[in-house]
Formats: sequence, C-alpha cells, structure tokens
Amino acid sequence: MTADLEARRDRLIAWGLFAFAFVLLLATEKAAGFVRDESFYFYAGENHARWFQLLLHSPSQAFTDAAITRWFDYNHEHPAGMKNLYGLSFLLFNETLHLLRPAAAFRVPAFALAALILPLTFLLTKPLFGRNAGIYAALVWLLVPRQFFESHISCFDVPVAAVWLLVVYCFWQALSRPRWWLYTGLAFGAALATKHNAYFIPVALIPFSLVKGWQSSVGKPLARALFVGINAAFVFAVVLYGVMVLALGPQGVLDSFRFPSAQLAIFVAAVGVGSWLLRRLSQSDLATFRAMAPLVAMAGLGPVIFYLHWPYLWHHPVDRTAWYISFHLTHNHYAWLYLGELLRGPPFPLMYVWVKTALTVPTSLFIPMVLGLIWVAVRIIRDRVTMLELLVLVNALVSILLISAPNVPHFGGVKHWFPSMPFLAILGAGSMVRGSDALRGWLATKKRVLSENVVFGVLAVLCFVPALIASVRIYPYGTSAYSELAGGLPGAASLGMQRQFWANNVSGIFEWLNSNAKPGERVWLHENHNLQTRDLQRNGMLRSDLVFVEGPWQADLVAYQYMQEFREQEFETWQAFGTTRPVTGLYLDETPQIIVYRRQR
Amino acid sequence: MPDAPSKPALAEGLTLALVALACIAFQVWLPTTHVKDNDYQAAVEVLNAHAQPGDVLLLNPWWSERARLFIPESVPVVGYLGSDADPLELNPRIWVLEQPNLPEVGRSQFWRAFSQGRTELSSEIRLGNLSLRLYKNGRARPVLFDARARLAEAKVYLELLDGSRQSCQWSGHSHRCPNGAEVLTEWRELKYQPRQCVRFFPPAQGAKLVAEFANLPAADSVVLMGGYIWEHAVHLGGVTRSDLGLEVNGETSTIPLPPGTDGLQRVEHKSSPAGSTVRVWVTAPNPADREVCFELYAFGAATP
Repeated sequence: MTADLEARRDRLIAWGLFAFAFVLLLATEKAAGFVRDESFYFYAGENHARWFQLLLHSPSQAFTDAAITRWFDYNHEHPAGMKNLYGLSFLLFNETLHLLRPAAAFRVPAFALAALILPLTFLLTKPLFGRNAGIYAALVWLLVPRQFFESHISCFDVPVAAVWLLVVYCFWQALSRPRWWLYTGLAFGAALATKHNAYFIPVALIPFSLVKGWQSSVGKPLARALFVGINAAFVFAVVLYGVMVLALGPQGVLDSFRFPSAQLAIFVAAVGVGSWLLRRLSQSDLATFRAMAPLVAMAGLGPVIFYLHWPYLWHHPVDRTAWYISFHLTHNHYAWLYLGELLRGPPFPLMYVWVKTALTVPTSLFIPMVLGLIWVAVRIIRDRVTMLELLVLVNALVSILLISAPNVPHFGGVKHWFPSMPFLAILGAGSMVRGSDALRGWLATKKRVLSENVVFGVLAVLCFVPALIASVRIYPYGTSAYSELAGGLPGAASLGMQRQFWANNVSGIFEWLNSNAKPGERVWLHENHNLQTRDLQRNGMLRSDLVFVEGPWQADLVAYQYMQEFREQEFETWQAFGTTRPVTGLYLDETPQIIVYRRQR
Repeated sequence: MPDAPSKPALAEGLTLALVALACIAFQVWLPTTHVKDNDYQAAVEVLNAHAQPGDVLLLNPWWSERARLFIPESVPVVGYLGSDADPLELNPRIWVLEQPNLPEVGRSQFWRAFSQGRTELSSEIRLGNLSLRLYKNGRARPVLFDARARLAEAKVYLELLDGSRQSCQWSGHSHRCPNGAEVLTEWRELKYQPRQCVRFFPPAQGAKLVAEFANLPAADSVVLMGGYIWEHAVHLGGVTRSDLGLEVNGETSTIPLPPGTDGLQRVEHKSSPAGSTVRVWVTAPNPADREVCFELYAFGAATP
C-alpha cells in the first residue's frame, strides 16, 4: 500500500471513529440526567447566547461592560469557551431549527469534543503500535463507563481532555511538519478557553521542546545561539515578573497591571523577541525551529485567545483573570467517601487517584494500561524509549500526579484526571499488541496459524465485552460505575467508596414520580438545585405541575440521594414524614442510590 | 509463520486473556446475586410470624437497605457505616438479614464484629439470595427508664452563671425555653448512625441547659449517650468545646466534647437507688455550631 493510500485510509478511520462516537452519544443522550453543574452551564450558555444575539442586533451596546457583565457574570469561575459553544448550539438546534430538545441542543458541542478524542487517540497510537492498536485505544474512551456518561454532558472535564489531546497531537505533528506549530498555539488557546487544567499542558510539553531543540542544534552554532536566545527571552520575562512580585507583592503587581503597563510590556517583549528569533531560526535550521515554534506559539497565542474568547475579560482583564485563578487556587473541598473514611479536607491520601482509577476503569481495560506503563518504564531503564513513547507517558501521568498532591481537591470521582486517560489507553494498546503477537506465536507453535488481525481482534473483543456489559448496565448512572477489581458497585459500597455524586441519578425515579405523584404535589429532589428542576421540567422529564421545595419539611415527597455526608438529611426526612420506610427507590446492583419517601397522612 | 514468543510477552498475552475472561464471568455472575422482591416478601412473612416487640433487624452488608422497602416498621431496620459493631443494647433479639453472595461482602469481618455476646436462636433461613437468622442479644440490657419516653415529665430549664434558673415550658411537643431553644426527641445523625435523641443545644454565655428527671426506678446503671449532630462534629474553626453532664443524686460525670469529637459518646453511672433524681446538662463557652443531642437510660442487670 502506498503512503498516500495509507494516509487516506487512516483519515477515513479517524473520521469514522469521530462519526461513530458522535452519533452514539447523540443517540443515547436522552437518558442522561442533568448533573448539578450542567444546569449551571445550561443557564450560563443561554446567557452567552443572548449576548451573541445582542452582538448581532446591537453591536455597540454588546461591547459595553454593562451588557457583557449582564450576560457573562454568571458562572465566571470558568472560561467562556464551552459555554459559548453550548449557547450557540442551543440557539441553532433548538430555538432556530427546532431539531433538538433544549438539553440535547446544548450538549451537541460536548458530543463533538468527546467524539474528537477517538480520532486523535487513533492518530497518536498508530505510529507507535499500528492501526489495530489505534482503533482499540480510541474505542477504550467510550468503554470506560464514567467516561462514556460524562461524554454526554455539557461540562468541561471531557472537553478539556479532548483539547489536551489535541494540543499534544498538534505538538507532535509540529516537530516534523510545517504550520503545525501554529495549530499547536491555536489548540493551546482553545484549551485555555476550556478549563484551567490547560495551564499544566506546558509542563508536559516544554521538556520535549527543549530536548529536541538542543539535540537539533548540535553542531549548528547559529541555531544553538537562536535556541538559547529564545529560551533566554522567556526566562528573562519570568525573572522580571519574579522581581516585580518581590518588589511590589502579588497584589501590587495585580493593582498596577494596566493597559499599557510594565507587566504587559514584559509579555509583549518576550513574545516579540521570541518570535523574531524564531523567524531567524526558521531561516537557519528547520529542525530546531520546529522544536521551538510550538512553544512560542503557545506562549504568544494562548493568552491572546484566552483574552479574546471571553468578553467578560475585555474591560477588566487583570482583575477578572486574577479572580478566576484565585477561585481555583482556593477551591472548596467537598466531602468524599474513600475506603470507609469521609474525606473532608487535606491532606488527602497520596494513593487516592491510583486506587480510584483501579476501582473504576473496567479491569480488562485497566490491566493493559498498567502493563503499558510498566513496558515504558522498562524501555526507559534499557535506554530504548522513543520520544513519542515518552511524550505519551508524561501526558498519561501529569494529570494523575497533579491531582495526587495531598492538598488538591479530591472530589468529583475520576473526572479531574480525564486528560490522562487517552494516553493510558494508548499505552494499553501497546500491551494488547505485544500480548496478541505473543499469543499468535504461541498458537503457531501448536500448529494454529492465525492472522495478526484475527488474534488482536479476538483479544480486543474479549477485553471489550465485560466493559461493554458494565457500561450498558450502569448507564446513565455513570458516576456510580465501579470495576470488577472493586467487586462492581456492591463491592465498592462494601469497601466504603463514594457511591455517586453530582445528583443526576435521581433520573432513575422520574418514571415513578410522574406516575405516582398527585397533581401539584410538593417534591424535594435532594441535592438538585432550582436550575436543575427547571431544566427537568423544561425538557419534559418531570411533570410541569409538580412543585419543587427546598427540604423535607415543606415536601410531600422526598427523593433522597444516598451519600454518606448527607445521611442527616435522610433522617430529617424520617422526622418530617413520621416514617422510616421508603416507598420506592433506585437500587443499582442492590446498592441504594435514590430513596423516595412519602409523607404519612 | 510468526516467531515463537518471548516468555514475558506470552505472559502478558495470557494475563490479558485470562483477566478478560474473568471479567466476563464476573459481569455475567453479578446479576445473579440480586435479591428478588419475592425473597424480601418471604422474609417479611417470617418476621410477621415470629418477630417480637423489641426485635431489631440488622443488615449485612450494612448498606443493603433495599430491605427497608419491605420490612414492617414494627421491626426497626439497622444498617449504617459501622453498624456491624452496634451493641443494640435496647434490643434483646436481633434478626440478621444477609446477602451472602454479594462480592466483597466482608462476611468474616461482620461476624467478628457481631458475634461476641450473641447466641443463635434459629438456624439460617435461606430465601433466594437472602439469609435470615435470629440471635439473642447478650449485649442488651433491660431498659427501666428511657428519657425520650419521659421527656414531657422532665423539668427543663436554663441555669445561668449566677445560679438562677429560667424554666422552659412544655408545649405538648417540646420544651420551649426563654432563649428560643427547643428540647424534643427527633431523628438525628451521629457519625452516620440514626439516633432518636433529645435535641439539646447549649445556650449562650456559659449558661447550662438542664433536663431534670425525678423518681427514676432502682437501676443497675444510668447511662448518658450523646454527641455532636452530623457535620457539626467535624467543624473545627471558630468553635469551642461543649460539655455534656450527667448528675445522679448530686454525683457528676461529664462527657467532654472538644471540637472534632465525632460519634456517639457515653458515660455510665453505676447503680442508682429507686427515687433517684438525674440531671442532664450541656454547656459551651461559645454555643455557635455546637449542636448536641442525648439519650438517657436506666438499665437493669443484663440477663445471662
């Protein structure tokens, strides 16, 4: 097969994977209830959409701080990128074309970003382990039940995993192909516009740029000088910022950050000098240029895109960015059950992330990941590791190690290290290739000669089947998924693990509620806020005559979400209703998830 | 013809295949551990026929609370994180409802925590994936006095630092105090455990809230149990300690409740004569966030 044909076939597979994932997510979205945060983002997205409408009809008004604040102030703890897309999608698919219900319309960009993970994983895996492995690694994303569930919802954790992967893919391409340095910068800007995890992407890429740049410039004095110069420009900028912080204090630096100001001048100068040296480098040595250009593009384009994409920053860039960063540096710790202990604050157990991953990723997919990690470690020890292998390894570990830090908030299941998961799947795919090759060789010694594709296919199907069964059985209660290693959900409950979070499992009792609630009954959906109940009624998931209240004392019906930290609220319901006996509930593999009580008359 | 595989690669391939097969087996097997509604109904029939007043139903695993949908309220269902070791001292007989086939059920751990002082009264009844057994609870003690049942007769008042008293008035449902506090029995959580206990929040400025019970029967021991409600136990910032006191005929014992004290605490006063007066009090230098509740019992001697 010619290289062209190969590339065409790969593109076809990549598009096929994207289309398959997108259609699958769209087809299965209706069952997915609304997590607490999603209704915040629906609301924010709709606000952003209203601003875009204003921009169309009255641009001069839209650019005023008052108009921007009105539509962008809500939920400004996250950048606007995804919420802009959610809002515009809602305008298009619901309000304009009337093709989708509101929730599905908001979610379309989330499906697209999640679907993007598959082709990107395929394209990064293929040069390492081949086409079969690429398809395997891509499909793993959908077969981890928590990932599959969260791929449906209009939040940021899956999108940021997608754009992280996109940045790494662009970066890898940029080392050998023209223009991809520019795409890397644009992708990094998109990542910054998605979620704050993006701030850690450079940690996973800078070492590779530096090593590659250093190696490429060996024996080329001018290229080496320009390489050093580019680095010096940015290091000097960092030193200057450091000096300013020492001299003025962090608050002083923020207070004096204006347009124009020394702070801005340092950034412009560093990017300007870096770009000028980079241009000279492009004329001097292409390999060194390709190593350094993605970083300069990320440094230059990232902050600019971040600023431009978020109108909320336009009139108050420094204050509002500072608030955004400070919000995440001082984020609340939510209670979280882990191995029988209710974690309420730091220091969190060092092994939490590893244990949680082991207990939630289907074991038949997790074991290849572990073997893949061991394989790269052995390759490092034997000094046989390639740059792409290392790049995958580092990106598999960065998010996990970051969240493992004992002071980082540990709520939210596994979603905070989703950006690691495609890279772990890539390493897992390597294990599958080695394993299937070995099995094929072993079978051949037994006079059973089978093709590479058949043996790999059978092994992959074997690994996929239990994950598929688990996914089908647990969906749409993805935050409750536990692996075979945990003993499934019952095993996890006995181990004292968090059984659910985010308040979406309540959708499991909607059918009962819609059939059994009396007209106009007052209902307390525990842990569901008023935007969620508004969305549930708006999307026809709950009867419109039901009245939602804020606690058991005002309610006729209570749907309690079983979480260890909220038991008091179940007992308060017993007290208010005069009974300890529920009328129905959602029990997954026998574990109580949602427990419904009715007031005794 | 493929090359003969290296041992590590073959081990990797076999590991992957065996793990996958084991996972498939697990996923196929897991639904077979579910309990059918009929099995719960059958358990209810057993309880309806044989349960006595004072019996309790203990769940193993502790979280298998689907049983609550079926079990009549006349038999309290106990299942909370830590309930394996609950002495259940108010209940002379315990029905243990188990789901022994569930994965990771930790049966040996349960029986280790449960068995001491318990004697099996009936052999195991298997109802599909349920197992029901009846035990005599050797850790139970005859309850001669229960403050919750006698709360209406209690004298409840605020005792100020100068020794003066301000009475709280019984409303038919609760004692209402001049500082706005209410003293009543209600369901509350003490470290995951549901307790029907007496709400007893300390008043401001170092005053004491006192509940006084007169004419107790002669008892082997008087036991005060109490603690911080729910997450108030784990709040550490801007809060002070509280003290929950027990005074039997003028002899005082205290349960200190420094910030961070979670769960049900207890203090026991050995042997009190008939006609004893018992005072329970609570105080805190700063009452903010110090939500306390208590139970008070007079127990007779445990029967062997």
